[in-house]
Amino acid sequence: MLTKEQIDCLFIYCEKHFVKYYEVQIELVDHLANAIETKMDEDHKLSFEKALGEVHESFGVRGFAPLVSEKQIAAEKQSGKLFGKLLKQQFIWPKILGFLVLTAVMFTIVSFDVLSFRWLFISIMIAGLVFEIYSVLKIHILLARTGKKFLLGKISEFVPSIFFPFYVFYFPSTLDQNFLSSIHSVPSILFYSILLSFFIIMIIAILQTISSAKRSLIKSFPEVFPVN
Amino acid sequence: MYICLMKKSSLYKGLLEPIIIQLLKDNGRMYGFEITQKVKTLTKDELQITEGALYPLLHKLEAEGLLEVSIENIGNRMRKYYSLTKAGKKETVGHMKEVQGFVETLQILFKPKLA
Repeated sequence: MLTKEQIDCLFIYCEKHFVKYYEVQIELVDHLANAIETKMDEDHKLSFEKALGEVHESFGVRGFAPLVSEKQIAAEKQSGKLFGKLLKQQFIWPKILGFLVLTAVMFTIVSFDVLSFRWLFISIMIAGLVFEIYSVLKIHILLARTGKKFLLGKISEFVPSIFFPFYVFYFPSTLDQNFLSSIHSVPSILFYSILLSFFIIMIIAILQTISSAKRSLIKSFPEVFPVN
Repeated sequence: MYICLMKKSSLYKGLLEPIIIQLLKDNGRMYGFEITQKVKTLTKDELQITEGALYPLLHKLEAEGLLEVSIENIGNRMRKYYSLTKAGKKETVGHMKEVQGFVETLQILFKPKLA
């Protein structure tokens, strides 16, 4: 079995070969260590460094690069899927009650004063942004304390980006006076009330996704994230 | 003749996913290196899974919810184990049917024609 120093050496080796994320490093280090141990068992004269070189060669010309890029794609896909699942849950009984109540509140406010739509929309967007930034910052602070780089940091930035198209498409329209005057009939008020409620639900699902990914990371690496 | 000249590994390429899923079904949970060695041993060195093919596939299956992972401290390092989820176990049945169909088709194609 390799020594602690040799394992540390493998972590440094991964860093030097652009494997920055700890989630990928631990799997790669274990693989390298196993392969090196097997080679050294077969040939007792083989040095650790020589065995490492031979094992690295077996990864092919692209080396560790596909492992990192594919892991990142897979992690983004996984978090996107989790977000979809959490969003869907909001529309299943009894959680859908929250959405319906929210829509009813929005409908009442907008019916009473159509101009309030703009302020409601802007407030929801700003509150959503603030919550998302706060949640991402909290993750980054937690990860920074470990001194290691985690894929979760990247994912926590990726998940809120799901919401950006809504900011881009709807935010400018709220500033247009003609747009506001178009919200006059009951169906149009109902449509925009549903839209506002959906934004809130989306923000909640984004925050839940980040929080769930964080919990799963803490659970997976108790040594890196000791319980306070 | 053409097949004989081809690299063996390319013939197995599309079968990597069912191979991994079947191995995990048979062995419960496994780690990456263990999978490569098990395949090597079972096929008597006929098939060798490269790391560049194995890990991206494991990560893809994990993202699709077919595999779940657990990380354990094994003394001087951490080890990531993969096992099938409920959805992964269901997938095994489908994969096996596909592979059997594939083998049957190949048998039809390559079976020596009797005069």
